[in-house]
Amino acid sequence: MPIIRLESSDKEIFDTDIEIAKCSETIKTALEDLGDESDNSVLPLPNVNSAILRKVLHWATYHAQDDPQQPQEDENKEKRTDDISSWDADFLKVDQGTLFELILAANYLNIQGLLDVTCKTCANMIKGKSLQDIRETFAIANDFSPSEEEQVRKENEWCEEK
Amino acid sequence: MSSMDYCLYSYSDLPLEIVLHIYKYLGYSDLLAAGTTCQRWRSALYHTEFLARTRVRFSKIVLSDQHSPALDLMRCERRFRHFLFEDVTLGQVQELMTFIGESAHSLSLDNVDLNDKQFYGILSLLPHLQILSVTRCLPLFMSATFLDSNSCDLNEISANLLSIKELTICKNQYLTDAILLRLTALMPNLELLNMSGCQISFHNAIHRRFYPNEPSTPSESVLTFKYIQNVLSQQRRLLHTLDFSHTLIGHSLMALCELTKTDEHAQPGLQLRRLYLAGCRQLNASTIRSFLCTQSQLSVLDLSSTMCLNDDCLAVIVQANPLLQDLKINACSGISNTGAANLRNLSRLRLLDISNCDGINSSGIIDGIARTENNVLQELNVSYLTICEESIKSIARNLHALRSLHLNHCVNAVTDEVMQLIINHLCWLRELSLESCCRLTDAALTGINIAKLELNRSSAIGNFYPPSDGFSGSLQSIKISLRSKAEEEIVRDAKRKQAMFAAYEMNLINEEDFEGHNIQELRGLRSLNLRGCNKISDVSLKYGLKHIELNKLLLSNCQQISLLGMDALVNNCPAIEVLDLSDCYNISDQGIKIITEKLQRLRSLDISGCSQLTDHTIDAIIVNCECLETLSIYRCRRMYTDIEDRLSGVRTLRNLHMDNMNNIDNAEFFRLKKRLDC
Repeated sequence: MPIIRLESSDKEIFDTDIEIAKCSETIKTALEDLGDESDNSVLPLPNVNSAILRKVLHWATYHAQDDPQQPQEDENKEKRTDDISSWDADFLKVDQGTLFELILAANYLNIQGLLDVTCKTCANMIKGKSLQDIRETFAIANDFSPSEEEQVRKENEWCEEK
Repeated sequence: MSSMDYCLYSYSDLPLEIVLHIYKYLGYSDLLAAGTTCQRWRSALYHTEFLARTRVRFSKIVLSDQHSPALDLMRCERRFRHFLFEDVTLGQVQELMTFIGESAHSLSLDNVDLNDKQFYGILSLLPHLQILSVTRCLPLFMSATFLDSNSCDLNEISANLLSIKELTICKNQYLTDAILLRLTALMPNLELLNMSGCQISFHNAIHRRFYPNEPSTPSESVLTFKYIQNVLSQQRRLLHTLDFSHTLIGHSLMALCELTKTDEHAQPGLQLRRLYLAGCRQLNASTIRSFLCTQSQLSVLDLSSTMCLNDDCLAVIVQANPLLQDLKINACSGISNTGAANLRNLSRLRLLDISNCDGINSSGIIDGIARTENNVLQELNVSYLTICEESIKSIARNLHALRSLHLNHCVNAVTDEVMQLIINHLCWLRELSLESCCRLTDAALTGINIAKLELNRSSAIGNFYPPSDGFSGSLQSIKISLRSKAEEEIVRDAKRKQAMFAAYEMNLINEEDFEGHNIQELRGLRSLNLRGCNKISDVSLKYGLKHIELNKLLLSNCQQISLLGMDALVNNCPAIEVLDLSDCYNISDQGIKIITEKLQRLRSLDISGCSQLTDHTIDAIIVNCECLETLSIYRCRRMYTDIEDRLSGVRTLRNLHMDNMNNIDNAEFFRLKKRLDC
C-alpha cells in the first residue's frame, strides 16, 4: 500500500498509509500537488510536533472506516455535544495543553472530524461553568479594565436569546 | 501549581474561526459566560451570527438618554438587531433611538406608555426595521388622527415603514378600521399579520350599524373583519402567516376562500405557510374544511381549543395539507381515535400537540403516531390523555428522534418501567415533562432496585432509628386494620421511604444497587418537570440528575426533597436558571443559602409554600443572587420584615409574587424610584 512520509516539526518521520493521511484535507491537497512523486517522499508539517502528530495519526487510523463527511453543513441541524463516542472521549482524556495542541493541529491539517470532536470537548468544559471557572479551566487571563468589565456585566444583563 | 502559573498555551489565543466553532455548540447562557472571560473571546461574540440570536430586552424600567441602561447600550460596540421594550416608561430617547436605529431589524413594544407623536418620532429613526410589534399600548391609538396624512407629516416614517414585513398588533384597545387601514397602507411589503386577541367584530349586524351606506370611509370607532379583509386582499400575494387566535372569527373565514383564487392575470392568490386560530370558538367544521382545502402549502397550523374540530375535518386536513410540520389540535374534544389514526399520513409532521383531547385514548395514539418507526417527529405532547403504559412504550420504542415529550397527568401510564424505557430509547430528549405523574419513584430516574434494597438492608435497618417521621409512627398506633388496598399502599409507601432514607443516610447505596437505566443517559436534557411527583426524593437528586445543560427544573410538591438533595443538585446541575421548589416544605434556609450561592445563573426561583423559610432566606437572596429576575414567595409565613423594601435592592429583580403585596403600580413605582435615585 502506498506510504507517505510525514515529518513533524521536531524532524521525526511517520510512515503513514496514504488513505489514512488523506483524512487531512491539507495533506490531501499537498499530495495532489506532488502527483506521481508522492510515494516515499517526505511531507514536512512544521506546525505539528511529534507527540501531537502521533496522536492525530492514532485518531485517523481508528476513524479511517468512518463514512465520509457530509459536503455542506446544515445550519438548521442541532449542534449537540452529548454525542461523542466513548472511544473519542477516552482519546481526549488528556491535559489541557495537549487538547489545545490537538485543536490547532486539527485546524492546520484540516481534519473536520477531529476538529469537531475537540471543539465539542471544549464546549463541554465550558457548559454550566461560571466565568471564574472557565478562566481557570482554560488558563485565560482577564485582560479587561475594570470599566470594561463593568460594561460587559451590564450588557449581559439585558441581552437574552431571541 | 495552578494552571495559570506556567503556560505554553493560551486558549485566549485560539484563532477566531476555532472560537466560533466552539461557540456553535454553546447555549446562550454559556456564550455570555464565555464571552466575559477575555477580549478575544468577547470579540468573537461580535460576529454577526450571534447578534442574530440576541435580543435586547428592557423590562420595567425607565428609558432615557441620560441614564443607564440607555447610556450603557450606547457605549456598546455591538450593533444589535432585535429589541423588546416591555412595561417601559420612555423619557427623552432621541439619542437612544438613533443609536438603535442604525441596526435594528425588529422592535417590540409591550405595554409601553407612548402617544402617537412619540411613536412617529421613534419610527422615523428606524430605517432598517422589518418587524414591528405593538401590544397593549393603551394610549397609542387613542388619537383619532393617528397616521392621518392631513394632520401630520408622514414623509419621514412612510419611507421606513416600506421595509416592514411583519406586523403584530394585539390587544390594543383603541385600534379601529381607520387606523388599521392607514397603518397597513404604508406597509406594502407585509408578509405576516398577527392580530391575535384583538376585539374584532365579525357580525354583519355590527357592520351594518357602523357602515349603513356602502361604500363608506372606514370607521373611527370599531374594528371589523370586513376591513381587515381589504388588507388581506391587498397583501394576498405576499402574506404567508396569519394569526387570528383568540378572536371571534367564524364564518368570515369563508370569505378568505375568495382570496385564494388566482386572479385574471394568473397570479396566485393567498397561500399561507402558517395559520394560527387557537381558541377561536366561533369556527365550525365546514368553514375550517373549506378554507384549509385551499391552503396546500400550509406547514404550521394551530387549531387548539377550537371545539368544532371533528374526525371528518381532521381527515380532510391530513389530505389537503400534506406539508404540515407543526400541528396543534389540543383541547379539541370532537376528535376521536378514528380521527387521530389519520395522523400517520402526515409524513413531515415534526411537532404534534394532541393533549387534552377527551375523545382520544391509547389506540388512537398508537395508530396515529407510534405504530411504526418514525424519525421525523421531534416534539410530542399527549398530556391529560387517558392512555395506557403500552402506548407510551410504543412511543419510546418508535419515535427515535424525539426532542421534547410532554406526559403531564398521564398518571396511570407513566410508571417506573415506562420511564426506564424512555431513558433507554429516547436518548436525544431535551425536554421532558412529567407533571403529576405521581406513580414515579426514585427507581424510575436512577435505576435503583428498591425491592432488593429493602430486602438486603432490612436487617441493618432494624437497628437504625429513622428520624421522627410522624406518619409511619402514627401507623404503628393504628389498632384496627381495615385491610384496604389504600392502607396497604400507604404502608408499603412508608416502608419504602424508610428503607430509602435509611440506606441513603447510612450511605448504603452502592454500585450493585443500580440495575436499570439512569436519567443521566439523557445527557442533553435541558428541561425537566417533576411537579407533583411526590415520591421523588433526595436520592434522585444525588444519584440521578447530573446534567450540565439542565437549565429548568420544576420540583413543586416533591415534599421529600430536603437539604441533602439541594446539596447534591447544585453540584451536579450548575447551570440551572429556573427552579421551582414550591410546596417542598422540607426545604430550610440552609438549602436556599446553598442554592443562591452555587447556582450562579439562577434567574427565576419559586419557593412559595416552603413554610420553614424565614427572613434569612431573603438575606441570602439579596447577598448572593446576581441575576435573579423572578421570585415567588406566596405562603412563606415566616418572612415578615419589609420584604418589598429589601428586595428592591436586588437590582435585577423584575417580578415579585407574594401575598398581600402593595398595589402593583406602587411596587413598580417604588422600584423605579429607587433606580432613579442612584
